[in-house]
Amino acid sequence: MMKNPKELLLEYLDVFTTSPQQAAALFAEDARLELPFMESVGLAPVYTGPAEIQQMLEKVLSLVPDWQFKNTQVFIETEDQVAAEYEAYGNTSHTKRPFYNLFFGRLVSDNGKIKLLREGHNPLWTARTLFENGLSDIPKA
Amino acid sequence: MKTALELLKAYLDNVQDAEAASSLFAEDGALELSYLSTVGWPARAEGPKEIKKFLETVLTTFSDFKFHDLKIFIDTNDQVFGEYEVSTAVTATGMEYHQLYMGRLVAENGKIKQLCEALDTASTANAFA
Repeated sequence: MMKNPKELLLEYLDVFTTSPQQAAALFAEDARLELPFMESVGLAPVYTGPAEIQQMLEKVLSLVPDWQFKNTQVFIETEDQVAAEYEAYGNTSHTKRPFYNLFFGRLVSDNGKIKLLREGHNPLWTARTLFENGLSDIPKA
Repeated sequence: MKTALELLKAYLDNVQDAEAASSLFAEDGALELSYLSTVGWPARAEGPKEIKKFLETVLTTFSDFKFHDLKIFIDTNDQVFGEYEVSTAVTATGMEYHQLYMGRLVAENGKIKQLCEALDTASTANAFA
């Protein structure tokens, strides 16, 4: 049976940490993972297709190996879309700092696959934790 | 009674009139910008009075603050999810400020019960750097 958007989101959040390959396989061939606020801290905001998305997830997990999504709240659910909030917790491998972020995710599904996952997150929290010198490492606009 | 979509549009259209925009909220309605505390702003304002005060601060901090390019992605009976932008400048310095908002609005009895917005804090921090 074809997965609905909520099932796709929950499965994505569930397998994200254990199997980036499985998580990326939930996306359609032309699907996009978009984090528009990443651009402000000098990171790529768009990843297209399962291979590129898997690479991105593997990179994230190499930086935050114990990454965990918690407190998922699904607020809107329609036939092809879902809007939710979820939190990420972990510890960085390179800066040895606790990692936290709150994600606002909107997922669009098509034929049982993720067509788009567009996420809002707090880029300053990301920079503080992941960048060696914290906010000082954010490229100037 | 206004729908969730009508309320979001009315809020965005009237943001330069803090009294009108805040009166769209229920007495226990909340404007939530969870990330804003990172840049020293309150993350939540509750009730028309507090929301009006918050908007007045926004309107004095930024010149000609108004939303544009509204895109509605989800529209249900009581909730709407959209994205919208602001292109303005910091009043005190003239520094340009561009922001993208992701907003989810919950309507109840023709009023805004909750408006949760995600925004790019790095962009905000840059504007004040």
